[in-house]
Amino acid sequence: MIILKRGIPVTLAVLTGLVALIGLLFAPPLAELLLNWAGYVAAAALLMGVLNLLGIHAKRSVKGNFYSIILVLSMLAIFGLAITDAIGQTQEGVETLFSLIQVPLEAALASLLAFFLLFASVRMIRNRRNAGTILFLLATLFFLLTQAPWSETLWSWLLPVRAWAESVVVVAGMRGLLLGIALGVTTLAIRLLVGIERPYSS
Amino acid sequence: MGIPELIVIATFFSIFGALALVKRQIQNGQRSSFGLRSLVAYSALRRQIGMAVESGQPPLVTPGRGPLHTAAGPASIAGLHVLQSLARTSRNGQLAPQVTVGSATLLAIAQDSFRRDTDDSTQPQDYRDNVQFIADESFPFAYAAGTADTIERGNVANSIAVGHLGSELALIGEAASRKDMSQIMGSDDPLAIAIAVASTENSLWGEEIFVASAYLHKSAWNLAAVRIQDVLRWLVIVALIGAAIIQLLGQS
Repeated sequence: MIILKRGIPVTLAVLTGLVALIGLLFAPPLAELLLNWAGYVAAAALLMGVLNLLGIHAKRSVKGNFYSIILVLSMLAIFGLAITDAIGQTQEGVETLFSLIQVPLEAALASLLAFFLLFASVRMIRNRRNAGTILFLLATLFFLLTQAPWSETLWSWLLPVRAWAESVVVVAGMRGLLLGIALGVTTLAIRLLVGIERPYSS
Repeated sequence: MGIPELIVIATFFSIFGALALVKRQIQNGQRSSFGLRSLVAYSALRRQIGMAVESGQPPLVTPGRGPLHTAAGPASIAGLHVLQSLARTSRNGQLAPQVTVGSATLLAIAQDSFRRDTDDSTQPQDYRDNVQFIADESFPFAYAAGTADTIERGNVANSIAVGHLGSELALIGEAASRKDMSQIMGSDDPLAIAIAVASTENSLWGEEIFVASAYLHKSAWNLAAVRIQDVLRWLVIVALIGAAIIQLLGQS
């Protein structure tokens, strides 16, 4: 039973990973086929996710949670609209609702990012007073002031400094981070390919 | 077979061979002095488990929104390592973590890893309700808003967001800060790392999320992987400096 429970998933995962790697090197259509299959599995997983969301909030709705009731009703309304779109009773109903509701909401939340970052910075200055915080604050102020609309008239002499900082300091830091991430991904990927890491199995 | 293919195959076997060699040395005790440098976030993670048990409230864990079949998959797996560790240790205090995921491909693995690490007497329904799919990876702010709502409403002790997360991390951080909650944040996205640094002192930068299994589980393979990662990093540094010197000498 243990062999079935542990051995089969590991064997399947390792074989699939190695076949995909060999496909990427020598037979790209094979790798593309496997990646397409992964996309189909992800689509099935999305259906599972939607059912999970619906199930959890349906239970909360029964307990009287107002926002869960709204969510469940909205989901059912969108499902109904998608069906009516499919049978031709409505035209682009889902797309219209998406552009009228979802897109503005996402944009509104994105626009709040600046304020959240400001609050986070103020909390950081209040709670963590060290050299790193001071450097963070100075860098933030420097880039904010030199990106402002009036910066060209007020402190144009700072603009070449900003350009240098962006092209040298920022790029160097980003590349260092990304190189480290690439190395971490490489070692993790090799452990996954040979079955050392098994997040899918006990 | 061209040269790029040969390089890929040689790299694969070299790294795997080095991993196996170092792992054997660790197991045989030849590297008894092998130690991991202290990472504040992982030390904080152990404290947060204790805080959750003392407060009687579960931690919130979110492994991010990176689909497993894309380039963001490894970061999500790193987040799942953190989840598995918390699920395993929380079992002793019977405080199952609340989990939110931003990708449907993470849902099944989060439920499964959570289920197998909880007490055997736990009914299946318990773990299913603790793991919640919020929104698809295409809607990061919807996912962050849902996670923030769980923080504000869900009676959680602390917030642990490690995985593939982007700028939406700011919403999650703000919600946790408003509740004056301890946080741990880590991502493979440089923008999210900057947000994490501003939001909490327990931040994990890029490659540090990929060593979660070594810091939390300390198996020989994971410790070997950390050492190999360090060696590769030094090789890259030497190669970069060497290339810069060669170019400088060539120009002069």
